[in-house]
Amino acid sequence: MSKPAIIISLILLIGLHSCGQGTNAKKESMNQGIKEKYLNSYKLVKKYDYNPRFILDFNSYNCTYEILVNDMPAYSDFDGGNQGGAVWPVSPNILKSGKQTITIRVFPKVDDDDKMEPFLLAKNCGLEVKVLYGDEEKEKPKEYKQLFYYKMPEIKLDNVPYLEFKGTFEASTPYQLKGWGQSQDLRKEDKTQLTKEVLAFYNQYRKLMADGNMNAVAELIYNRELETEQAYFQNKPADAAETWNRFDQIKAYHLEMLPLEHYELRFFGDGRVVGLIRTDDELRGESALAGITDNKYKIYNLLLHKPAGSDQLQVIR
Amino acid sequence: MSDNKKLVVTIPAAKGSVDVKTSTAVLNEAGTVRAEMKRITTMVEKLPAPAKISVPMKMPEGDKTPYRWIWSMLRTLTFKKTDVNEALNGPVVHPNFPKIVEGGGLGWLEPFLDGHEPTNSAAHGYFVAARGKPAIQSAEWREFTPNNDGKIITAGTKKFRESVQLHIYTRALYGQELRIFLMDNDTATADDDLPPWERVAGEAQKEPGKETPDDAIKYFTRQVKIMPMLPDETSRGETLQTSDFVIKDKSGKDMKVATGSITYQNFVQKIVVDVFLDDLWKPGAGEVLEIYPIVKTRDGKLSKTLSKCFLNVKEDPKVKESPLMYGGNKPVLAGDIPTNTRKFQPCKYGMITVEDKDGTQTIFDENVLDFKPPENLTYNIVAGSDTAKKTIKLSVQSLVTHEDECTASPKHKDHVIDLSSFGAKGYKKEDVKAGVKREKEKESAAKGKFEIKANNYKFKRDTNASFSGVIKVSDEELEFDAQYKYNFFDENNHVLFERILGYLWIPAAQADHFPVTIQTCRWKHVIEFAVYPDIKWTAALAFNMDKADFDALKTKFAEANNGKGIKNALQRFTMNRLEGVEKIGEAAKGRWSKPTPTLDRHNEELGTELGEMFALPKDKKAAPTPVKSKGKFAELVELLKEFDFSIKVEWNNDTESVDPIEDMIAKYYNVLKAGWNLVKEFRNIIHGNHTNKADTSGDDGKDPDEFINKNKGNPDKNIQGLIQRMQRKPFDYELQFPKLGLAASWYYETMPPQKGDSKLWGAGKTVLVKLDAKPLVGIDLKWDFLELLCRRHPIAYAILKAVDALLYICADDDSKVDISVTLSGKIDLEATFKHNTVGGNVFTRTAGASEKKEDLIKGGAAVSVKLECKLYLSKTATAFKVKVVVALGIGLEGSSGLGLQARIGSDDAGLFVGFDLIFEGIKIEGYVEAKVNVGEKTKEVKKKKGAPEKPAEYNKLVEANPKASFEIGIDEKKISLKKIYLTKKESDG
Repeated sequence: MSKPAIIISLILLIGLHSCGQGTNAKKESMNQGIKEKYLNSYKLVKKYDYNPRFILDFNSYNCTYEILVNDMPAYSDFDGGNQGGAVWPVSPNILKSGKQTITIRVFPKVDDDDKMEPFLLAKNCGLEVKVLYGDEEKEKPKEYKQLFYYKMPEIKLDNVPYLEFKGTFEASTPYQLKGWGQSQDLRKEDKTQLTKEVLAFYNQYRKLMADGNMNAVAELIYNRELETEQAYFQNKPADAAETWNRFDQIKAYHLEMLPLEHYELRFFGDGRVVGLIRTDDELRGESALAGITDNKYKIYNLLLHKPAGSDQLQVIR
Repeated sequence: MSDNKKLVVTIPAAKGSVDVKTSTAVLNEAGTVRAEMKRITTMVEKLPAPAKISVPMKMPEGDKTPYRWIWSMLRTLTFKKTDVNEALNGPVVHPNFPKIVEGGGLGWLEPFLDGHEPTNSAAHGYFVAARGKPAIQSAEWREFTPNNDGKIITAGTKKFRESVQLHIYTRALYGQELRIFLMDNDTATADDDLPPWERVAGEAQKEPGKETPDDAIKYFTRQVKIMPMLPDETSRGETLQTSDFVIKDKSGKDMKVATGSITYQNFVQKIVVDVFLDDLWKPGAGEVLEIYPIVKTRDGKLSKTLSKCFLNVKEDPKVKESPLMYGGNKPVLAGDIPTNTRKFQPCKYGMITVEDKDGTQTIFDENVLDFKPPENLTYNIVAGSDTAKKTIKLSVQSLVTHEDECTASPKHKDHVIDLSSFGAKGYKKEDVKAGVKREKEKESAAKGKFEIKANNYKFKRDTNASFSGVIKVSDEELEFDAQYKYNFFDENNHVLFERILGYLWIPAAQADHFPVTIQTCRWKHVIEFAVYPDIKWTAALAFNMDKADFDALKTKFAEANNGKGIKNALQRFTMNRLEGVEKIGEAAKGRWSKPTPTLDRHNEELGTELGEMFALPKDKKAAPTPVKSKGKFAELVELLKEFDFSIKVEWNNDTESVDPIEDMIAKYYNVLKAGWNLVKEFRNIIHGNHTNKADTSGDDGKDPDEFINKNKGNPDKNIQGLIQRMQRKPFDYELQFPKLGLAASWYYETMPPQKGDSKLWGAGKTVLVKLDAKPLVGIDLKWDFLELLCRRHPIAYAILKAVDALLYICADDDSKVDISVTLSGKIDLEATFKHNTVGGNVFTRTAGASEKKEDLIKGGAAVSVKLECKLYLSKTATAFKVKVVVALGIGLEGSSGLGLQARIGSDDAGLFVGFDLIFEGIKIEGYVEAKVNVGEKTKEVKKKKGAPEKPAEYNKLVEANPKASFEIGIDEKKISLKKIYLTKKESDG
């Protein structure tokens, strides 16, 4: 499918969604519609000769941190802060070939009760971040190539509360995602009004999750999921089926949704994306949309944007 | 008191002994002595020999003199007639020594006549004591009360900041000081010591930035006393406490020993320790304590761990203060019960001091309570011969030798100091009349010197020796010149190298001993003057090192040694290989320049041996081998054959010296071998050869072998895959070759002891070392954990769990799992230390010396380890949290959950390098999982407060489904490797 074709399909699908407020029969048909849309989504995903997957590879000790790629959350750890050689996929943050930005913010470590220390541990904390890429079908992970490397300088003073590093790297992708690239700059909007809108969206989404109305959830995030599938080159029918099955799995959790609390409105994507991020100790840095099941938090990404020419918030990541 | 009567105390031989000289009767166990005022007959001085001494044939009729008796426990010997014991009357009495004061209590028995005062002199009275069978019996925790009668709370629970008492019941230890260690019982780790910390106005004294005060004193010191029996003590059996009746004193403070029927009170022998449940114990020991005592005598011969006598302590913020809150825990409360009878003899001296040019040491001071038998003391001197002698002056102070009070024969006057041992070594007593006079000490500087040349070496000899073999001695003073005579030259002034080499390992050097007896009625001390040689060895070793680096090392070493002697020695070290001058064998030949036929023959042999030993290159003019940095093990072995070494020996206060380099090289091949062994050891660590099978007790009993065997036939291909992986090579490595520079000196030095009761300085072997190793051991190593499973590595079992779970997660695609330990980094060691086997670490001893001889340099080197768990999965991402224990002091690349500590130390066998491989709780916690699609992230809900702790060792999978999350861990393991000696004479290397 060509790029215009994807866009047309998206518009059509969004249109379907906005019309779908009729009778039960209509709902049923719409449900069928969204399921089919998901199950067929693999057809919209294109594969190329070389299908790079972008990953973060990081080590840390005695510090917490968040890593943003293209000013969008890529990975954060506010949980003890010691990670040994973990990897984390970040392809959906890379929309197209060219210069990419990376922001690394390092915070003090947290104690067993998740309380953050006031300062970084002098001489005894560190973070090392790499951006790697490779085609998982053609290369072994050990052969992935390095695009970016950052090693935190040694902290020599004992009164450093926070460290931020901004850098860039060049990446080459065969695909182009629309993402938030053309979206409106939400920083220019009235923040109070915007907060209200965002909160309303989160509330609506939270209710759908609490009610187990996964079809409606699926509808809201379809665009994001499609971009995600493209970023990971998931073009097999089984991939699409697995994505759809996730909704059933989530429904089976009987999630006890947490109230929307302890959050702040944060801008991402150079002001074009907005989200509610938890600020409390236990879920610091996570999406405010979270539930508990079986003694585990289930945290759901929900970042919103307003596409150019639209006045409505939509899910972007 | 009548002059022709004498107090005679008798005890049956089986029940104890009586020392008439010191007027002391010591019972084996509490019981009765017989005391009688006996008429004595004075010997007729000029009785014709061989007539027998005639004793009156008939004893006078029974003595009816109405003697009164002092019979009382004593604190000070100041009894008055009012202290009379009403139960004892007449010339023969049988006072009973009570069991309750066995072990240390002294009774004073003295008869006197009405109208007279007791003399309180050992000439007329007797000390009575009973040894008993010392034991620490039991203990109880009690509520704190000022009267020491709180109710028993053993095994109960108290709160931090409350005050309690610990009653420790003893037998036959009255008056002795015991050490009480409070311990916190930890099930998982070693029990913590809870030190006593004093407070001032409720505040403990802490250094800025520290959580707790200095814990140099780890125990309470208390004297065993006797106290009135409490109601709940009446039913305790003999095995738990010792009790006895004694007369209740009028004042209630003192007690008199009973035989009659006066007023009795039942007493118990025990210690009562006021204990403040200090909340400062929490940072070291934890929020919940289970305190129990360990009680030891000062000499450590008796020790009892009373683990059943415990007290639980918990936090309660409500408890704000309690009686002991303001003063805290007092480490020492000294007692006032005298336990040494000799303190009451009139013929005495009060102090012995010895003075040399380093200062004055007090060997004995009767005003300092000392339980150690003071008889045999060694005063150590390090000296050379002639100009390097040391003048020693012994002083006996506060000497009182009144002949009438002296009970010795002959009298002590004019016989206080006996120095017969000196005569045998050629010393003479000063006798001015006979013209034997001790010269006053002269400065030995600015004297004429002459140099002799032997075999290219220069020897400086002093021509103006001020040595005096004359001893000045009186009752109060002894002055002599201590010297150590070397015989390093033959009659032609040729150096006897073999003799010098006999001193290479200095403990093998013989010390000269001069025992001197100092004696009065009250005290007797035998002081042994031990003279150790002042020979000093200095060696330097360079291996694979740049010349500039080695020069820097030499400078630093000289600074650490105040430049004395060693600086010059170092300047003469030749860096053979680096300077490209000569090869080792050549050096040997060139320097020995045919001085004598014998030496020449030795030289030839040595050259041949060296050539064989080190496989020297044929081309003697070949350029120096360049410094190599990295390669495989086999290359290192080759490289180890190349090194530079130099040694020098100095004696007689550094005025004479020789460099016996070549002869030494063969011996120092062991140094090389040590280096080689060090690398081999390291390879053994890597292979897990030093480790035991993983301890799987407490878990489900699965060990790696069992797990693998059991699953061999399992159709599950994951297990098969696991087995297949184990066929792989376990590790890949690249060594960073050691660059080692070492300068060391070893010699005798006198020094105050680091620990212990002795006040005397000891002669210890000092080892001064400057080591520069960049790296000492370096390695880039990658372990394949999966392979380690079949090697029974201690960490293997834990990792097995992880793999088990991971294989579930990643199904059948094994290329997407990467679990490895990357051990990168190296041990760089730049260390300077000066250690003395008596004094400990000389550089740190003032700032709280290290207690163990071995802990000289520690934490100076560590290897960083990255434990990496990477999952490259399409639809799930799992970030692994690796628990890091940053305890090694060098946090390099993070994740230092595994470390290697190098330590250098010296013990009686020599200077050594040792390694501890430490596993510090490696832990993988994979509890952040995210689905790529639908953006769902899973995270554990934090454990609720008060929930039970998970076991620390080998935590099981948190739940059955390993996809969700898992956690593995391992307890700390420490593996100490064999010490590798660097200066051992007969190396086993």
